[in-house]
Amino acid sequence: MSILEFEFFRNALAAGLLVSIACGILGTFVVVNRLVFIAGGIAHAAYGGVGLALYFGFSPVLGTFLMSILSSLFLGAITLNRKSRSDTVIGVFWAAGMAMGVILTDLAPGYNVDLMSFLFGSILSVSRTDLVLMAVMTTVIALVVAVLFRHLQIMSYDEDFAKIRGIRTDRIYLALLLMIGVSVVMTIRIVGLILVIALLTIPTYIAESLASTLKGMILYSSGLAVVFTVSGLVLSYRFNLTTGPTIIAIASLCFALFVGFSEIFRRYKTVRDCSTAEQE
Amino acid sequence: MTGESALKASGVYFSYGSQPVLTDVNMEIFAGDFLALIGPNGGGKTTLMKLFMGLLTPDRGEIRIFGKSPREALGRFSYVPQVKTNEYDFPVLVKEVVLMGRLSSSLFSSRYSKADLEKTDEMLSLFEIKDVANRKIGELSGGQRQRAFIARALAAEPDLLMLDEPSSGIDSEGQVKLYEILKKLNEKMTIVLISHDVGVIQKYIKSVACVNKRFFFHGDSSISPEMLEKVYHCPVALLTHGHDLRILKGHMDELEKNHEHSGI
Repeated sequence: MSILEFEFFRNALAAGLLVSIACGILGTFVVVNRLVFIAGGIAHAAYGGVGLALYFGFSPVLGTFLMSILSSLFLGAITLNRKSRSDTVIGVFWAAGMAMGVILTDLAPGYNVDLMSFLFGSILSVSRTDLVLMAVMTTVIALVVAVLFRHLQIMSYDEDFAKIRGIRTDRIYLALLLMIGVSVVMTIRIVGLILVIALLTIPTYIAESLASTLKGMILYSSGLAVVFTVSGLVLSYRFNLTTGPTIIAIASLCFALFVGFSEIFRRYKTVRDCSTAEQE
Repeated sequence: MTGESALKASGVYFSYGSQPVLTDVNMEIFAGDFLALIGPNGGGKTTLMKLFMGLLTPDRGEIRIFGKSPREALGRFSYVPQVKTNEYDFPVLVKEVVLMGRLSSSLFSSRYSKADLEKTDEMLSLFEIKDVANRKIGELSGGQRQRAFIARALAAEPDLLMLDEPSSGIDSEGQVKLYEILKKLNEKMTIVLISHDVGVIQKYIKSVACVNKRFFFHGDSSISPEMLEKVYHCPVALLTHGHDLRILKGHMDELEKNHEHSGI
């Protein structure tokens, strides 16, 4: 328990818990609404915000925040009309944001930011201020989802029926994307923008087969995200590895084991059902 | 019951991009009617239903539900969507689905009232799905799932009920049961139904219309070979058995394929 004596480790642990809860809540809606590609687009475009911040000399966290919000609104508006080729636009946004970030960082006077910390996260450098910000963001997300829950649920399940109930699904959709944008800002800090998608989808994928309701899915995926984050943090400290990728490695391993075992179980069940049928 | 205009379309045009789907649709039905929409796949039946409900906006023309625009008439009509047999296994319980019929648009009344729960309970019992109320919707049989969707639509207490191919994925015994339910419901509400079961529905409906780019309205419920020919644009084989007319299944598929090839 000696590592808990270090403040940086306690902060990292708290940050991991907060981000896991946010990812569990929003990952559920990302998966059931098939927004994985949009979430990835927002995360990568956010790096453009880092470039802007360095070039104009303001805080990179503010930069990623502004860029995430802008790109979630923009991609939301584009995908809302379900026009064809919206996936291409997301892809362009994804790449252009990254390119802009790198070029602006090159042009920024004197200072050279650590690109790797944005790509793969920097959970060990979370400060008290960061922690307060993350707590505020997670609380806001949890509250908004609680208030909008039934509307989010009906929109995700049957958009047409939601509309004839008079629900403004376009607004609910934009609100969801905004929240995803906010959670992406936090998640970049923990696992980096390249790995954001993994933390939003892996726990949720496993949770989906365990739960029979959206609420259950949120609880299971938050719980799984906590397990992955905490165990990744501890293992990376013990073996001196980069934390973000360690968290994702554990999640991916569990994902592979889960998929493998459920496949074996499914086949075993089929074989057993067949042989009982034969006996009859 | 009669007299009030339940659903009216005047000069409605709709296209997807440059592809015209519906041309100059004019129709009107009155409260208490039971209208079946038939026609080939891709003929625009589902599109027309979505236009009725305001889910799509016509390029030209106007839709009126009980004399109001679809937006103003929200709450007076309800909808049973087409069930896809390979539907994605969404994590939602049967009772949650039925409760959706009671959901209001207000953010601050997002809790269900006692009346909402009672209505849901009543619907679950009426459609004999109370025993599976706490199961995941994906675990239900085709017939049970269809009944859950009708229960959801009726939980909203509509005056006009629209159903898009409610009998798909249900065995013939289940279909008869379904149409009996609809016939009973028709005593209290107007029904518009999209169907392929030309033969079976005749006993239950009051009027029929064919949709194939254009709208061919027929006042009564009889489906004649001439009418089918006009809509499908080629001779259709009919099996006559008493009053029961049935299109030969294989033949119909073939016809639809031919239509696709010829670009209709």
